[in-house]
Amino acid sequence: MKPVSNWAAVTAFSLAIAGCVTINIYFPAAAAEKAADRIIDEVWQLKPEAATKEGAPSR
Amino acid sequence: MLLWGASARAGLQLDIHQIDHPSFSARGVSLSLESNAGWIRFDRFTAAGRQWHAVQLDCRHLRLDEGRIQCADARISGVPELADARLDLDFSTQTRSGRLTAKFVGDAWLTAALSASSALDIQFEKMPLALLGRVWPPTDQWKPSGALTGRAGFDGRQFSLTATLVNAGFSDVSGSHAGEALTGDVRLSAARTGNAWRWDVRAGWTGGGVFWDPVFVPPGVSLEAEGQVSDRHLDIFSSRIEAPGVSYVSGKGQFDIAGRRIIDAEVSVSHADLAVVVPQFVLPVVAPAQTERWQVAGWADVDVRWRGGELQGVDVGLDQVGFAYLGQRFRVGPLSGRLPWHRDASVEGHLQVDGLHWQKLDFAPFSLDMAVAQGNITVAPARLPVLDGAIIIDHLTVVNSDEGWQGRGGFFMEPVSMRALTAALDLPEMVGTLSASIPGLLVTPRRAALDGALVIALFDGYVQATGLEVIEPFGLLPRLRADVVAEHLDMAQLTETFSFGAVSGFVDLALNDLQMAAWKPVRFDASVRSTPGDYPRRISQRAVEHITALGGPSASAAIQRSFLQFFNDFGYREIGVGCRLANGICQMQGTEGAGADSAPFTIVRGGGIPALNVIGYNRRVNWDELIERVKAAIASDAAPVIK
Amino acid sequence: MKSVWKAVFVVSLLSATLATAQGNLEVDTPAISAIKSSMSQRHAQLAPLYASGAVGLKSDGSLAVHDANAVPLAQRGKLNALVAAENNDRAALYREIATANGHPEWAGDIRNTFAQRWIDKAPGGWWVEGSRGWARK
Repeated sequence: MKPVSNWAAVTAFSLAIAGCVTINIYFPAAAAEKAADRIIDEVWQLKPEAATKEGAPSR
Repeated sequence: MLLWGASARAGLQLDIHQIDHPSFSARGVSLSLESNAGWIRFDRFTAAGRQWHAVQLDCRHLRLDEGRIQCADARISGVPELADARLDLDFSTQTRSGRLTAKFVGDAWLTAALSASSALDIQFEKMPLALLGRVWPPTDQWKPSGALTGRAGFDGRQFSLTATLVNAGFSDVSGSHAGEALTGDVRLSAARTGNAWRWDVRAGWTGGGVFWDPVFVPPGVSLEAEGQVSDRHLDIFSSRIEAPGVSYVSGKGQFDIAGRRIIDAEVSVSHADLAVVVPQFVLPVVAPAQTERWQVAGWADVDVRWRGGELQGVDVGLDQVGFAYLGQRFRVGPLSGRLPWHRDASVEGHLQVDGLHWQKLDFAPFSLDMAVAQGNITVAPARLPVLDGAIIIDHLTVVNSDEGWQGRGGFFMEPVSMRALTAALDLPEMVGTLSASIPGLLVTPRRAALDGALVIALFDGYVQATGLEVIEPFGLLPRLRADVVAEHLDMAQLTETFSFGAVSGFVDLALNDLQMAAWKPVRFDASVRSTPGDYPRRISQRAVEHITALGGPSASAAIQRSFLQFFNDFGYREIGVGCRLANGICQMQGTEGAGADSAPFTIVRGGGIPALNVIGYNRRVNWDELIERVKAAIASDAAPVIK
Repeated sequence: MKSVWKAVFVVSLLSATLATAQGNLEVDTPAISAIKSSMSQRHAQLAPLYASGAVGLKSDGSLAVHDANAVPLAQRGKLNALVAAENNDRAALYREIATANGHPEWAGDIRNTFAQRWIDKAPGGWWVEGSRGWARK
């Protein structure tokens, strides 16, 4: 795993707090479209690099 | 009866009021002859149950000679079926016999001969099936093609037909019902007996294929049958069909023609090859989406009986049947036995199962006896040996209701040693026993629920799972739900088993609302705490290192740099860690319980000399990453350590 | 208690926290991965069928047999099975994304979003169903 500095951790952490305040009630159309594009690329193998294993910590 | 009326003008003109014959009738017949040529007209012509109006035969050569009409090289109008045919007619009005020949484009021709005894004999060769659309317009949308050669005869009492079909095809617009390159032959004979016809048919389908959504039928089918047909009933005295995938199908019975229903019948399918029949005919109809998931082999005999318009009984014999679902995840077979069903009575069935494999678990051979009644199957108590124990079916009933089938039962386990189970499942070896007592089992196609407990005696304590439920057990991804509690687990044995350093002491575990998919947890609320009581509590340096390594390499480096590295183990007062997993994130807590995301939490509270606290600072942890780190820590422990 | 030493225990995962922060949809559950891999495997068989027009993309996010005549007779049963299996997976995918994000009621919206994106991303020559029926892209 990639070492993550404390500074980066603190930054990410504060973002996380901001994220907790926002609660989505409406359907997130833009996010759904992004998710759809990602899955379609993977299923149809439109971009070979998109089909590699997801979940790398830094993106 | 012929009524003649004649008026002579230039040439000859004949008007005939009507002609009647067993095979046809004509009204308003007139004939005109001028030198060699002429025409014959029918105002109305009736034959084979059809009527044509204003039919005119224009003959290039027309001869009338002593009641004999000879019309050669003629064209016909008013009969669209014969529009482009060239006709020759030779008819004797005295003997009422004659012959009509029609030649079509290509080499196709047809001859109909009428004898003095009223017998009709039709021969035809290479007759295009496309003509069928003209004779019978509804067939036109099927785009029939191909050619028919053969002979038909009818003398008022006997009918016979032999025909050969070559390179025939049909298709609807969408192509979902179609046949291609069909060849075959048929022989049919029938004789009138009183009000009924005795018939006898032999047919063979030798080439081409038919797709009739959703089933593809390959050629190689032959049929022999005899029976009788009347206004009300069709009787089949005997029939035999041979087709790919079955040795033969035989059947006999009586059918109500008007009601379109079976009155009495018996059908037997002998030695059906399930590897052919199931994927070809059964799965496309029953479960098209799962056609590729099932693999089936073996043979079956099926007998079906109807009495008085009702389905009376079914008898299925299975011989060396095997099936696998989704690759090798679930395999059954070889399996043999008999499954009967009777409308009014409960009948005994028997299955001998010589193999049952689920994931990596293999069951030893066992047999099942059952009572099959209307809409339900009751399985007699049975013992399914697995590893060094067994699953005992206490009672099991499968009911077919409006909401699909449903299984209810109760079972318990003769203890299975964990040593054998962990070896079979490729897990680190554990010592202990697994037993279960499930008084209430409920299985439906969408859900399997176990009311009872699964108990594993393990690590000097026990683990108990309750509220077990499998959602979509037959789906792509079965999901498991359970509540798990464990008490008094010996940490020394546990950490040794999983090569996680050495920790002495005991812990209790609660794993509430555990949900797993593909054997990976997706949601749970877990907590691990030291068991209350008085016992030695030590934690080795390696174990501490592994715990801290879960925080990432930077954290584990800290301990290496400090003088802590000089101690082999430390005392502790309490271990307490909790993780609430949802959406791939583990929300952690320590001995203090829940707290704000920013509050550090104590995982190991130190005590004794030297003491050490392990404190976590990030309460939100990515689960997959955590698992990777645990695996890495375990792997590093297995390797030799050089200090 | 003489001395208490602290070992620093930091677990910090950028991707996990960022994902929550930006309100992305969760699409990395085991269920979704299983469906995706099943669909990817099937795509090798479906790709030539899209290209030949045998199969088309419907406006409701599913597939349909568009022209069975493009497939040899003996293969048409398999064509049906492929379409049925793919539609099963697609329905499960829409349902799983909705439940993975804690809003099962989104399944319909997700289906509609996917329907549009499948059609938008389809290469030229494939058959797609629009407001005026089937059309070739």
